[in-house]
Amino acid sequence: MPPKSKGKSNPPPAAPAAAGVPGPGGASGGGTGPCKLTPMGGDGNAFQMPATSMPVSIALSTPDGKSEFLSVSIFKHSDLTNPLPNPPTPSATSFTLNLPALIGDSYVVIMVVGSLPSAKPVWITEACSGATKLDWIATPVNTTGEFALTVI
Amino acid sequence: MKIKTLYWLVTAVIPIAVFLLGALPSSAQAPQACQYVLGNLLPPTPENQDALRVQINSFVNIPEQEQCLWQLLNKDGALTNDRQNATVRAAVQKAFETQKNVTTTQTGSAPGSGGATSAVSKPSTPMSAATEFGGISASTNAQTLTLQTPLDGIPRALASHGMIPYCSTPVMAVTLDGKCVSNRLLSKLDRIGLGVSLNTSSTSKTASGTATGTSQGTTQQVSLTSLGTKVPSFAGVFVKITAIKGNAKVKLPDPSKVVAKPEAAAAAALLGDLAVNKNYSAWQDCLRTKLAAVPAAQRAAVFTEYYSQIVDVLFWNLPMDCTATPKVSKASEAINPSTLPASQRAFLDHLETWLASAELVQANFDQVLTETAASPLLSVEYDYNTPQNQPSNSTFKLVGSFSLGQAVAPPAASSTGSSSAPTKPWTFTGNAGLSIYNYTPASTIPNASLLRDVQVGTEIDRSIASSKWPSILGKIGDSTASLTYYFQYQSSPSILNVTPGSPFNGITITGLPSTATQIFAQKGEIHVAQLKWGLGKGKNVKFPIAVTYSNRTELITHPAWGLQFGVSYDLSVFMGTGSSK
Repeated sequence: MPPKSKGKSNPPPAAPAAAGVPGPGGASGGGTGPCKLTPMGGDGNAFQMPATSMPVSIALSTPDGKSEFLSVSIFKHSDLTNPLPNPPTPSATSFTLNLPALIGDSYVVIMVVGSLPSAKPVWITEACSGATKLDWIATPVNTTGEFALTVI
Repeated sequence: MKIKTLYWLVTAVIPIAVFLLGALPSSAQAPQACQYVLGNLLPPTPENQDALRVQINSFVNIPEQEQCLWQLLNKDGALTNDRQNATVRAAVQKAFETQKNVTTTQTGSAPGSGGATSAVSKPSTPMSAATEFGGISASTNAQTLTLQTPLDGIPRALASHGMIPYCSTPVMAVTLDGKCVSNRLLSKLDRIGLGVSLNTSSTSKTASGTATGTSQGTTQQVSLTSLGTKVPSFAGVFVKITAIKGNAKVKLPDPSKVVAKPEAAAAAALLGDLAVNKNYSAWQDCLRTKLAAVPAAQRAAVFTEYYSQIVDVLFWNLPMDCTATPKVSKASEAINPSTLPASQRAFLDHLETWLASAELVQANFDQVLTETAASPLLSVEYDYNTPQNQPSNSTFKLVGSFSLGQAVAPPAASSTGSSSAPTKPWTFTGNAGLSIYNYTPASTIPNASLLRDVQVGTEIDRSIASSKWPSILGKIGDSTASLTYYFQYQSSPSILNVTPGSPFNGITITGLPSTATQIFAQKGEIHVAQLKWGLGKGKNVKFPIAVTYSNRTELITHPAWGLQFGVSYDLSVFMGTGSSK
């Protein structure tokens, strides 16, 4: 018997949508829950997490409050041409991923950040007690961030 | 012996040493965008280990370092022309779209000129030509042609043609090593607007005739001569300086109003290109190891020796050399985009697409950030007016404006051809000023002084979106309805210059003594109310049409109704910066 829906339904694994749940506005890096993302290997910005632990909240940690998320796009690593439908709508400093398991492939999460000219570089972290660092964007020169996510 | 040694030291050893030192790699050789990232890496301490690993991963991930890579590739600006035009045109068009849509711009001549359709001045000056028929407080209608531009209008136009490098954002300024006209400079120039008005209803329309030959019953041949000039006469010039701009208080814009997905798509395309390049993985692995192992002071050397090999790896098909031996490198050679193989040309296209996308996102971000259309603006205006047959005068004015309400882009913007730039629905404009004669009036005119008048005016504009009443306004497009009140206290009587025996346009005076050169009217208070409808909001052509009631005019002490209308054309279209709407 399938679990009861709570108002959101995950798409089938064959055609996953980048279902996003708007995160709480105003977050800036930290969170209180346990961290769900674990680095894959020693190198690269690749992480993994079980589908059963979804959703996961991602935060923008900005030291001066002069940067914000503008958009989040999610691709399958095997198809970097077509973004998945229904990507998360970010608030200024957070967004939430709710992705199904993807066998033999991984997701690529691409974030675009907007900054004031005097902004300092920002961190992308998981919004959890350990604030796992996922990426670093040297704003305002660089404005795109990216990490890979394997959902098992 | 010592002198000989010193001679060799000065003439040979020191110059050679200086030359060799200059050829050695140094941190100054890292492009500006790369230096910025390098300079922000954390010190390699044990507590920074995890964070530094993430930073280094970002630094060796080219889809996050497009600015750095492009600066490495763009030797001596060799690639600048490859990407300049499309980027610049799109970014500049954004600025002009905003300007077209706002209700804080002056579409026609200054109110003091003869044919003005507006009773009050607006703080901003667009790059436009306007022909108007009317006159607010004048006793006779006139037709004027007004040409006006902000000082940044011409540089923006030149930049849009790629004739001068343009960096509308800090990102682009870094990419072009600061060798471009910056948005900061243009914003300063944008504070100054200039305009000149010509009177096109000149006195040549008045003619005098003399009967010639003999009368033929009820007909008579005459010889006619036009009076006055046959070319448009100078009506006035104005200078407007913005004292307070709308972006005085800076806060981050609503992210949902910035379209940023094209930048993400371009980054994904780069990721796809790099995923099939094994040399790229080797380059990343090498850099991760090298950067993590050296003290912060040696990172610049690692950059020069290893990071710059990304050009070899991606564009010269050379393998990554992570050894300490001298490298075979072509990184210093300029890339010729026209001779690149297809896959490398595609990669360069994706890189340039990212840069263009990032530029547009930043332009969009800046646009929403400043919300020029909605913020308070205060300008100081000086008008030099030469009304027909009147002494010239100067008007000094404070012009304030602010907008209220939720700024929204027209939902049917694309279908109606209107600009998509968001504007707030209500705009309030206030004027306060005084006008002086440029020469002291004749002492024989009672109560005449240098001070001609003091004036105040206010206007309320309401944007009308065609989408609200598509059946009625669908064909017309977005427009603006305005209600204006203008008050002028004439402290000196209005003066007319006359030449006895020579009538002038629109006014006939009988019983004038042959010695009179100036006549004057009764001074008093002028109250003007105006209802105006501005068609063509957000488009290249605007049609203001207005109905005005006043208790009196400058010369006539009886109530008067007036009709003013005009056509204003956005000249940026001819400069290649505006849209063709």
